[in-house]
Amino acid sequence: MILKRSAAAAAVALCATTMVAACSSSSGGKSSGGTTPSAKLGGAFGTIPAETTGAQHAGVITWAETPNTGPTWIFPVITSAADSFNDIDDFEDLMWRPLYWFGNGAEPSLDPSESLAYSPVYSDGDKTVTIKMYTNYKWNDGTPVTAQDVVFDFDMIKAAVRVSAADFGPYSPGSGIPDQVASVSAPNATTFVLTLKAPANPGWFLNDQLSDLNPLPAQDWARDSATGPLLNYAVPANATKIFNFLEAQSGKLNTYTTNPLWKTVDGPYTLTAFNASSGAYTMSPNPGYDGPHAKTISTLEAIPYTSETAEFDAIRSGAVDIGYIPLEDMKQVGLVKSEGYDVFGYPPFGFNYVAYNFADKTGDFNNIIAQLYIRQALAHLQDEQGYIKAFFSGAGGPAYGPLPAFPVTSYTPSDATTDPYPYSVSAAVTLLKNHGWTVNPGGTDVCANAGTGPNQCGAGIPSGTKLTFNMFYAASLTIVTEQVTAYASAALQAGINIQLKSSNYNYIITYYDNPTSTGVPYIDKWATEDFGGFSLSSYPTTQGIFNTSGAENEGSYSSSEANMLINDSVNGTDPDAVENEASYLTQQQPGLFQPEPDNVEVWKTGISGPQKAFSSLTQYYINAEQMYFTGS
Amino acid sequence: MSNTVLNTEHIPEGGAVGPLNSGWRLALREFTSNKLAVAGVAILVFFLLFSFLGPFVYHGDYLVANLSATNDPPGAGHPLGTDTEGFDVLAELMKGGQASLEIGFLSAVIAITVGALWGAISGLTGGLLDSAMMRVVDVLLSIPFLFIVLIVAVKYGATVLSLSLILGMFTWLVPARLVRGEVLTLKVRDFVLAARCAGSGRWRLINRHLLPNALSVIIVNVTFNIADAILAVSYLGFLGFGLHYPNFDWGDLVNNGTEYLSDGYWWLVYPVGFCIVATVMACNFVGDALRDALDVRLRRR
Repeated sequence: MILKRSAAAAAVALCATTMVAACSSSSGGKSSGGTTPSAKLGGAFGTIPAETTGAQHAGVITWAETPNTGPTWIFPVITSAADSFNDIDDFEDLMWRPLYWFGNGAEPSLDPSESLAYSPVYSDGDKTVTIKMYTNYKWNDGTPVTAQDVVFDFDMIKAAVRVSAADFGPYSPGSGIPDQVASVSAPNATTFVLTLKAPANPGWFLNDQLSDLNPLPAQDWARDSATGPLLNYAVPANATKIFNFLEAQSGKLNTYTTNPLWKTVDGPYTLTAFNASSGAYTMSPNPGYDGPHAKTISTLEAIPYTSETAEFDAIRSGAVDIGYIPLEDMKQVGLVKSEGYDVFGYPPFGFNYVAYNFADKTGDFNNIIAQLYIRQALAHLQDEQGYIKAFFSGAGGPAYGPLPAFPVTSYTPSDATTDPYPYSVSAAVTLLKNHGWTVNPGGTDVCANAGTGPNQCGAGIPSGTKLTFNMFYAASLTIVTEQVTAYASAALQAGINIQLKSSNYNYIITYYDNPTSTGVPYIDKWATEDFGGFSLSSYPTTQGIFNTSGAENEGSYSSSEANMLINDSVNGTDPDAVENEASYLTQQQPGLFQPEPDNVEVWKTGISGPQKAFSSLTQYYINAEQMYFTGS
Repeated sequence: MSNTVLNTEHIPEGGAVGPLNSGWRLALREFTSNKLAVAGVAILVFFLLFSFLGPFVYHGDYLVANLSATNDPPGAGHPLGTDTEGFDVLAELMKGGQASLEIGFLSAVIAITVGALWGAISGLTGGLLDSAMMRVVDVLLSIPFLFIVLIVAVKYGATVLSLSLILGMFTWLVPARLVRGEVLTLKVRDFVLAARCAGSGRWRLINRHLLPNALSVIIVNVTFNIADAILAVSYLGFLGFGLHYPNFDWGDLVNNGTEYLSDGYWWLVYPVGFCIVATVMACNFVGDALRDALDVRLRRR
C-alpha cells in the first residue's frame, strides 16, 4: 500500500512515488495503457504545445527542484525514510528504470513504452504471475537486462525486510511483495515468474506491488564488499550480506559520484555531480539507453532552492529552464509567459480532505458525525468550484470522494466526476431541519427532536445537543487556511458552529491520529482536522485509510461495507472492485473531500518533446531524456 | 495659567507665591502642551471609535464569504476592497481593531497589576524574598515569550482572553522591575517611615503609600505595554497563530494580505499596516508624554 500523507498534496511536495497503472491481464483487468493522455486531459490549466518537427539539439536542461527536497538515497530498494518522489521519481528512476512505468503523462496509468516488460499474465487462479521482459534494454556495461536482475531485486527486497521493516518503504506485513510471494524464478533470460501464496487482485498487484520492482545489475552489485567476489544471492544469508553492503553504500551521500557501484545503469542517465548538502545534482546522458528518448539526450542539472520565493524568482529572471509556479504566485502567470515560458497545470493524483473523528465523544460528536445526513449536509457546505476559482486562481480540480475528478484513470467511477452533494447552504439546512434540528443561521443549531426515527436527530444525540465542533488545520499553508475559513463561513450560515483552531502539520499528524499511541490521549480533543491529504498509488484503493484497521485511519471511521469493498479491491478478482469502493466512499463521505490544486509547471518555449514528457511534470516526474532544444 | 489676582498688600516676606496647583494638574498641563501627546490621544480615540462604534455606522460583511467577489480593489460598495474570502476589508479592519485593542488593553492591565504587586512586595520586603522574586523575574525574562505563546496557541487555541492572559503573564516582568526600583527609593522616605511608625502594615503601606506614589511609573508603562501587546498579537496573527474566524485581529489581516503583495493587492496590507503602526505609535507618543509629565525631574519648569 503506497499512500502518503501530504500537506495539501500539491502545495507541499511530500507526495507518493508510485505511479498509476491499469492491469492488463488474463484475468480481466482493465487496460488504459498506450493512450495519448495529453489529448484528453480535462480540467487542465493551460495547454502543452505540440511537439516541434524542426531541428532539435541537445544541451543542458536546468530544472528547479521543489525547495528542500534534494535526494537522500540512491539504492533503488527504498527505505521508509526515503520513500518520496524526490528520491525515486526525480533521481533513481533516471538511472534505474522500474520494471513497470506507471505514469502516462499526467494520467496515472501504465505506460508500456517506458516499461521494461510486457503486461503480466495471471494464471492458476491469479496465484501465478508470469512476466515477459523486453529484450532491448541493456546495462551501460553492455550486459542485457534480464529476468535474473529482477530476481536479484526481489531477493534484495526480501533481505531488506529481514533486516528491518523500515528498510523497504512500501512493505506491508503479510500482503503483497515480498510476504505474499511463495517463490520467484527466472526460467529463462526474459521470463520472470512469481508464485503467490494466495490470489491477489490483478489490478492491485500490478499497480501497487509489481510497480516496486526495479531490475538491478546483479553482475556488478551481488557483492558484500567493494572488492569481494560475486555471491549467490539466492542464498538468504548472502542476500542479507549484499543488501547490508549496498544499503551502507547508499548511506554515503558524498560518494555517490565516485562509487563505481552507482555507475552501472540501465536508465537514460548517470550521476556525474551531486552536492549532498544542497541537493544539487547533474545527470549526464547514458548513450546506450534504449527507451524512448530524444535524438540526443540532454544533460540534466537539478537546481535546489531554499524557498518557493527563491524558486519563483529564478523563473521570473529566466534563470532556469523548467520549474513551477507556487500557488500564491498564480496571478503572475501572464508575466511568466512573457518571460518566454510555456505553462501547464494539472492536479497530482490524490485527495485532500478534512478528516472526521468518529470517536470524539465531546458534545456527542461521535454520534453526530455517525449520521449520514450530517455528513451529507457538511458536504453540501463546501463550494469546490468557488475554492478553485478564488483560492487556486482556477488551477485545480474538484474531488467529491477519494478519487479526484482529475486526473481520470481507468478506475475512476462515473460518479467521481459529478458532485453528489453540490454546494448549497439551503440543501444543508433542509437536511438538518428534516432530521429534527432547530436551525439558527449565524448561531448554533440545536437538536429539538431526539430519537432514531427518520425525522429525528439520530442515535445517541440527546435533545438540546448543539451542532458545534472544532476544526484543526495546518496554518502553514495559505490555501488550507483560506478553505477552512470559507467553509466555516458557509457552515455558520447553516447554524453549524465550527471553531477553527490553527496548528501545524507535524503536531496534527502526531497527536490527532487515533490509531497511534501518541494519538490515543487526544481522541476526545479533536472533531475534525485538515492536515492536507494523501497521494494515491496508481491503484487507488483506500486500504489503510478508510478500512477499520487502517494505520492511516486517523478518525476511526468504521464501516463493514467499506471494509468488504476495500478487501475486494486488494484480494478479490473483480476488476471493478476499486471503482465500487470509491463510489461507496463518495456516497458515504467518511471525510470532507476537498478540491486539489494543480501543480503548475513551466518550461522555456525553446524546449520541446512529446507532450506527455511535460504533462508528467505535474505528477512529479522529470522525463528530461525526451526533451530537446529547438532551433539551430 | 493662573487666574488668581494677587493682592499686593498681602505679599508675604520673600516674595509672591503662585497658586498651589496639584501634581496632576501640572502633569496635565505638561501633557497637553506636548503636541505629539495630543496627537497620540486623538489617534487612540479615533481607533477606539473606529473599531467599536464604526460597525454601527458601516455595515460591511466580514462573516459571509463571497467567493465571487474576492480580492476586489477599493470601489463602490467596498471602500477598501475585499479580501481573498470576499470579506469587506473596511469591516474587517473595524472588527480586527476591536480584538487588537481589547487584547492590548487587557494584557496591559494584567501585566501592570501583577507586575506592580510583585515589584512592590519584592521591594518593600527586601532580603531573601526580594532576591528570590527578582530571580524569578530574571529567569522568565530569559525565556523568549513569543515561543511560549506559540506553543500555547498551538496546543490550546487562541482567543481574546487566552491571548490577553498569555501576553499579560509574560509582560509583567518589566513593570515589576520598575516598580521595585521605585519602591526601593520610596520606602526610605520620611512619609513611609512615618506610616510605619503609625502602625501601618505592609499591605497598607503598599496600597496607600507606595503604589500611589509609583503611579507615574505604572501609568507610563501601561501605554508601552499596550503597544507591545498589539505588536505581539500582530506577530502571532502574522505567523498564523492568532485568532480565527469569526474573530480576527489586525495581525491576521496582515498575514492574509502579504501572501498577495506581489500580485498588487495593496489594499490587503497597507490599510491594516497603517492601523497597526498608527496605534502603536500613538501609544508611544502618549507614553513618552506621560513620562515627561509625571516625572518631576523631566517636567519643564
